[in-house]
Amino acid sequence: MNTKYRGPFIATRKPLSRRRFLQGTGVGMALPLLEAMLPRTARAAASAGAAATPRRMLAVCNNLGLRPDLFFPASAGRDYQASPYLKLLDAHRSAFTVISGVSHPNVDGGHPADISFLTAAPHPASSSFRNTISLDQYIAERIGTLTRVPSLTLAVNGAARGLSWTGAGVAIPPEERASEVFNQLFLQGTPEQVEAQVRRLDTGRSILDAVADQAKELEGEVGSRDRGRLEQYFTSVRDLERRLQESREWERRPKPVVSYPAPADIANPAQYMDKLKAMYDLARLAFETDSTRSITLMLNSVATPVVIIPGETITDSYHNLSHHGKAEEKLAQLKVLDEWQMKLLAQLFDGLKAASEQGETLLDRTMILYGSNLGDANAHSTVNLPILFAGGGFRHGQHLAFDRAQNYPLPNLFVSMLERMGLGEGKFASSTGAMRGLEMA
Amino acid sequence: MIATLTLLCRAAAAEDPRVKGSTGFFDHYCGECHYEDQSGGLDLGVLDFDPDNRDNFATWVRILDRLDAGEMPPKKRTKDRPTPADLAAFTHTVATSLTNFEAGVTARDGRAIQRRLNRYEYENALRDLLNVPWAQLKDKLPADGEAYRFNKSGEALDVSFVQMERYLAVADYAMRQAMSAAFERPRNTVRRIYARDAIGQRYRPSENGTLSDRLMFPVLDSHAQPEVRAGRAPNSSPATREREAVGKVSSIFSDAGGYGWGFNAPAAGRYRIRLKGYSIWVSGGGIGRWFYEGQGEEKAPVYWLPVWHRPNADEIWRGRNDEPIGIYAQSSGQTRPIGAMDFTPKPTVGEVDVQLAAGEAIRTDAMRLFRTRVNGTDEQYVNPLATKEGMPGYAVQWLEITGPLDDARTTSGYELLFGSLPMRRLAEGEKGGVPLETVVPYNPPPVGGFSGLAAFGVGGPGGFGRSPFSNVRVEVQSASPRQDAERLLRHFIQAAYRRPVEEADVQRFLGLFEREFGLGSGFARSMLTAYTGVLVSPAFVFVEEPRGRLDDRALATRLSLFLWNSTPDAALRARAERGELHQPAVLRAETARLLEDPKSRRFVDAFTDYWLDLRKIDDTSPSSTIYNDYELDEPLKTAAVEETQLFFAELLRANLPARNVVDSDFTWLNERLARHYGIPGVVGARMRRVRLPADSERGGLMTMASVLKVTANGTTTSPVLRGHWITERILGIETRPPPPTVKAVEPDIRGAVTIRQQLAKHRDNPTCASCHTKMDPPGFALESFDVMGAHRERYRAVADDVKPEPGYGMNGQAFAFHYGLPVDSTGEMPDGRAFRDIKEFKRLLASDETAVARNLARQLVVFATGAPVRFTDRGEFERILERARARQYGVRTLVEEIVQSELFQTK
Repeated sequence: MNTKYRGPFIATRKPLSRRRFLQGTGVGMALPLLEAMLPRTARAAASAGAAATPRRMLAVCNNLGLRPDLFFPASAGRDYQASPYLKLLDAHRSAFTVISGVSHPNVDGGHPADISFLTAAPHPASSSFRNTISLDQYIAERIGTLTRVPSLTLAVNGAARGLSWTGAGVAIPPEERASEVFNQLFLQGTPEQVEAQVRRLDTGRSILDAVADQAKELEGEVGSRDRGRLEQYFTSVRDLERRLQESREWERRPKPVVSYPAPADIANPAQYMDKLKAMYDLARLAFETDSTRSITLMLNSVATPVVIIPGETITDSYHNLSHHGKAEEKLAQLKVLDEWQMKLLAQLFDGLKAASEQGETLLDRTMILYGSNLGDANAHSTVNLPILFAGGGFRHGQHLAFDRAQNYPLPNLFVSMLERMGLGEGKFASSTGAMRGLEMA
Repeated sequence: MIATLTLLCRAAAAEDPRVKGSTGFFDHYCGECHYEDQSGGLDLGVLDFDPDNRDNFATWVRILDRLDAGEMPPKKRTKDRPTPADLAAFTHTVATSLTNFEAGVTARDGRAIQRRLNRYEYENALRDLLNVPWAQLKDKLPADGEAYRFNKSGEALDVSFVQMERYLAVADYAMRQAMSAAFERPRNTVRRIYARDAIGQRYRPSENGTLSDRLMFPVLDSHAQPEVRAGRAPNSSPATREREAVGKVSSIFSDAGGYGWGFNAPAAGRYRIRLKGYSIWVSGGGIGRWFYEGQGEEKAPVYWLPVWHRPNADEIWRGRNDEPIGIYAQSSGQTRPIGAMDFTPKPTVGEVDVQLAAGEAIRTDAMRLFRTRVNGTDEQYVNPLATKEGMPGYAVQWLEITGPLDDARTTSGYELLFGSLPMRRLAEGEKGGVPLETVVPYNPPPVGGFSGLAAFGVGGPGGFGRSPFSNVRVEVQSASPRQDAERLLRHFIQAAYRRPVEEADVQRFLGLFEREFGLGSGFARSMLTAYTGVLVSPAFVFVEEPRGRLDDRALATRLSLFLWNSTPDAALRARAERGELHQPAVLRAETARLLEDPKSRRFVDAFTDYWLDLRKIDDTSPSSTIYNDYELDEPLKTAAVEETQLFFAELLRANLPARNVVDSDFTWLNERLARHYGIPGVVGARMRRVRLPADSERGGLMTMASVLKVTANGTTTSPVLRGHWITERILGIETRPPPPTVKAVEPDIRGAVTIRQQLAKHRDNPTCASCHTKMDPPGFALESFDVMGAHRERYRAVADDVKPEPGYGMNGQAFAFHYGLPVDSTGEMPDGRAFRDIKEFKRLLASDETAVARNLARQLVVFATGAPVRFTDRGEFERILERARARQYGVRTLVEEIVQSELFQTK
């Protein structure tokens, strides 16, 4: 499956509905479309945000989570006592916040909840479930044309399952081949390839030209109010053409050069940790070169066989280990995998800290959300999710402990993240506000 | 005349009439209350005459209506009333001004402004044109705006660049679906998948901590097979193969619950799905939970004590009841129900005939059993259907899939695009072509063997494994591309456009082909480029209607958008081309033909989706504390929506009187919904027409579970919100939104005070009362129904210090609610007539069948024409009603008379 998400990027946010807009005025009347009712275009966002500091986001969902007993710290606040897992991240203690007692309201159903991790769409296991827009696509819609690719949707061991969903609730298939991502971002296409891509965009523009022509002809034949409708069509066509033009300019612009060897694809799903490291490296490179501002990474641990860890003996598949039933042997093996998750995160933080941009570390410009749709995979529980939130320029170094019996809404973190990106509208999915206790630095 | 009126009002606004004691009608008869906004918000002192402003226009219409109805000046004002002559003169002046203004607008623009197809219509139009009935297109397009409550008016059907981009993508997708359907078409194959092969062998927990309710177990002739279950006997043997089954006592909570069969549709198309099995009864006292010790070969289970409500899979009996089984199609983690059947204690074979998209998987699941999950303790999760004697379950033998079932039309989409030109697969390295998604062929396991198990991904939850798709690129071969292109394109435009082919269009889109082909993109891609242009062009996307009376072509389009929610078929277009359609008899015959076609169900679904908000059925979900007996009850919700759709379809089919909207002696039910309503004697999953008991409170739309659900929020009901909804949708009375300063009254779930008590104060305020006397009565009457539409005598409440009701929800969790204060469903109509409950309320409403018909007809006019019944439409609209009266306003007659009316036949 062709999993690249490239080419013209189109805003899909549901615009402020006319009806809602008109509620104050009673009945719906034919008003001219106001600026605020149009999906925000890249230009609008650019005018507000181009001069501003670039902000980025990487969201990771490990769909089997982490052992809660070893992940969550026992004490809360800024002087919390690091848990065994968090000790592995001690060097970065001031760069992350650990969050407990949070979950997505009404997101239940066990394993299938991973596709709601960034959307917070309720009841993902229900027989009439439709997903909604994911956080990364919400961001990409608004600032997607500022970078070469609007967003990257990545996965480890899961071409069938990703975290990114469009505004129409359509899944964006994730890419799990590191080489594809690398080529897309850094490999200068042959002139033919560039031409082919440009031609594809030009084809879109030529179609739009043809239909715009027809619209102009029809306008002459209709009454004034009808003409308004056709003019709106015409304007939409021209808007889309402009966006295709912007994408076309990216095609012609040379790709950044990185001193990183083109990665080889790892085919064996048992080499889970190697695949994960490759994805983290790519994410860092993409951010360093400002190739995108929004990346998601699904760690499909459920579909992972017995993981190969050098020097360790792992006997059961990842999923099987997660259902440890408190058996010592399994708990010990699961701990090995969890600790590797932490170590690789620490390496990612190291890498982002080492890179700088306009005098700030890349880590301070990059929000990293690492978590899971399962609070305790042994019980398929979808509450008390393990959430680690790092970087991005927040006052970190704390354990935000919410009520473990009555969870605090996790979408509130998304609201805070959007605010950090300069895209805040105070609301995302079932949020009730911005995250309590999380402040920007 | 407009000038006169404007002057009159400007004068009134400019000078304080009370000081001047001036001459205007308002000064004399209205100003005392309506100057300086002393009453309900209408301030005649500042009211301008500005008919271009729709609000202002509506205000003048309202003034006129209230004067005409004698509601104003109020009866209690005894002295200084206008004489009939005064009144007539004034209302005549106002009416003439309004009429003149609106007639001017109509002459210039028509009743409705031009609109594009909405996303329902666009989906249907492409499905019909390209013969891709399985293609899910609607959800790929942005949500449509609403005006006058429907997605049928140009005022709300905007076009943005997002819309354009999605059109491009959807058109391309739909055409490639049509190509896929003709590509290396798989043969019609019968695949029988035995449960023992596909899903068997998960008899013992492979993971520690799994609740035994979730496990499957071997069943043979309604009996247990302990040896097989223990792994001491083979899972299957040739002698018993046909009778072997796999059993279960629970339904899907999540992925691990239902049966995934390892089947993916090899191509899009029609399939026949058959499922064989029966219901069973399983003893309780099974193992509560397993724990394992050791690893690898050493691994051995350590048991807990038996628990009465957990199944003992080694003791199985003949079923004691029927079990409804749902059949679902699933792809990329999203599921849709495609059918249902009943397992009886004796083995039966159920059959459904469905359209599947390529790659869709089939899952089956019991619909009413315990929706269990792995987490939680034995105390927390109890099978709600378990008794001391055991619990119900089901055993499934096999799933058989036959298809794709092709007919002459199967490849007609491809033929429309490429005629008889052949398509071939491009080799690796060959350039160009069009990418198609194909399904990796399914290989049924050999009979009697189990080697196929690994390929099914058994052992893990469904949907996490490999994707069934692979990509191929194809090219269409043409010996004389330019001639073929023009020929095919001309034919395509003729089929797609609802008007004759114009040479300019052929050249325009041929230009796209030429450009693309010249760049070396290949024949297929170049043709798709030209076709995409056609399918996103204004002539396809917009509904073209000439001003004034519609010509036959526009009439054909309007008719099919009304009754099929799609574009006209060849027969209807032919009638239009011959210029016959406007003849009343012909139009009547075509109306009948369209209504009798199965495609008219699209009208029923789309109309009720908007009129009754059925599309919002999932907007809220039942509270997990107060209503966990409804949590995860998808079958109930699905049946509720179907009831409403089938009910309306029946009104239409049988031409039943419109008053049935308010009250009827029948409805459509299946067992689940009938149980919800407390109606005995309905058995099985199938929806069927049921005559209601004489004393039933059901009947009509208001007391349907679907309506009662969309008018509640999952936790509480508000008589104001429900009342407002019913007033607007069913009674056809528009009420204005509350002043912004008024705080909403929120129900209190602690159980100390009812919403009605809270509202009483609010209603005492005369400003509030003017609307609430109209809105609240239906709301009060419907207080007898909870958030899912079940009858209630008392409200449910949650409080820490009150013991909850005993019982368990479908999810196995104990109830957390208790019964609180009693419901009061009495009320009085705005005219003072009192009712005790919903039954009496309905009787009062149904007594005025004209009012009920008038509202339904108004909703239909918006749906059919994209514009409401306007001031100047009133005469013609009343004539529609008049013509339908002799048939007691039969719903079909209303539809037919709307079609025959000037409103329908004029832009």
